Amino acid sequence: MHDPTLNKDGLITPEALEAFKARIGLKLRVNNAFNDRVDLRSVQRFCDGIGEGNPLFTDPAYAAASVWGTLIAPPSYLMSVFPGWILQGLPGVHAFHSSFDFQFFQPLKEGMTITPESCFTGFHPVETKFKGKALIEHQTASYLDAQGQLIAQAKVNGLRVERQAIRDADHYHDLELPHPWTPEQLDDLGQRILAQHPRGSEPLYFQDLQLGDHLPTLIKGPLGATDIIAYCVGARPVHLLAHELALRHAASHPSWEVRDRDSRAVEPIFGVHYNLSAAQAVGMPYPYDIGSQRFCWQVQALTDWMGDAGQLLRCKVRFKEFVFLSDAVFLDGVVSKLFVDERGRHIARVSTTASNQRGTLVMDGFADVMLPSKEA
Amino acid sequence: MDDKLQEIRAILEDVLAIDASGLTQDSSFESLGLDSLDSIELIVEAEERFNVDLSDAPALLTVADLLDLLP
Repeated sequence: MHDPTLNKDGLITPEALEAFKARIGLKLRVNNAFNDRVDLRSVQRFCDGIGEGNPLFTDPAYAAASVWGTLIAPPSYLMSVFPGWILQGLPGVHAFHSSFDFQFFQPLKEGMTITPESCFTGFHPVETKFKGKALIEHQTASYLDAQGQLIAQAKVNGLRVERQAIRDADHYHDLELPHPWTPEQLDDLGQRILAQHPRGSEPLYFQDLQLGDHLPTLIKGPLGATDIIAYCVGARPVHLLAHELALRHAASHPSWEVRDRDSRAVEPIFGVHYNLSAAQAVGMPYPYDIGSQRFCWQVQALTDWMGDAGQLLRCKVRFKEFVFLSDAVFLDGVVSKLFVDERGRHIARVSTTASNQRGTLVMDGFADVMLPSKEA
Repeated sequence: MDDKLQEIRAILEDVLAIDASGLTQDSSFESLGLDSLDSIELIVEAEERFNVDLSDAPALLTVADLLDLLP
């Protein structure tokens, strides 16, 4: 299936590891920053890209009348500022998102400027379902306001795997892709999705919650190419190039490009998210979603539930399995802890899960949400 | 040793949202439900909090294994 002449694989050799180790501690050049300001048009474009219709984030009049008194962006908007991760070192060794642990220190109010920073903090070897060598790479992403104060900070883990190991494992050979949805299933899914809505201005009070309370399920899917394109338009997770610029980039970065078997066009390896040749070149059976995009869906499930007066303080996700084009994702949550922190904030901890239509867990994690209290 | 064990409990609760109130030195990471990524996150956080390099540490099976490596 794979033509090895299409791209250049990298290996995790002792020499490559030594070179990689020498980079630990480096402050990385953020070459994939996009939005640098909370403004209506950018926020609307981002929300379009993740299917986020909450008027708190997209309707200035609604937002002005809210508890915030101004337009705010969803916390996931930071993914459009900088997706938290920089592909660096180990050329030709594939990278997958492994986990995000975001802490949010300030709401994203209209007019704020945001400057991202990134640091490579280390790596550890790991055993995976893929054959061959793999490691977990650690980076820290920081987002600063105009005064240099932290808006948010994330600990980000990426999985680096030799592409040949992924191909050899052939882990997904028994999956039927695209998923064989029946018309009835698609109709049911569509109706459930259209019935989804954010809680809105009615406050969700801390005292109204009990341990074990379930969040409404947020459904995304079946995932299509346009969902990926819309995310790229709204969040621009990588710097995509076209025509002669793409060819020049391919010449200087042969490990990160692939030639499409059908169109014969040069595609970036990022095309694993929408291009079958690119996906198969790295050993995957079908294009799959973008990790930062899935994180945004998780944040939406939380903001839809907590209402306008809630504030997301932390969101941690771990990517457990791939979400392929044609898959649907069902994001659920359960209140697992209720506490008042040392600053007197009333916080609900939510254990989160996301599963696909096959019942496979594709993401889990937890989140801390600050809620209004009925006590003065 | 008690201080280190208490710090390990704090890491499990802060980083992995695991109720570690019943954690002892003999607790195995498997019994806590930790997978390979959880174990790495635990090690990374321990490196940061104890200012120690555990990148060449052998596979850790129990809390005692980790405590033995901490200064």
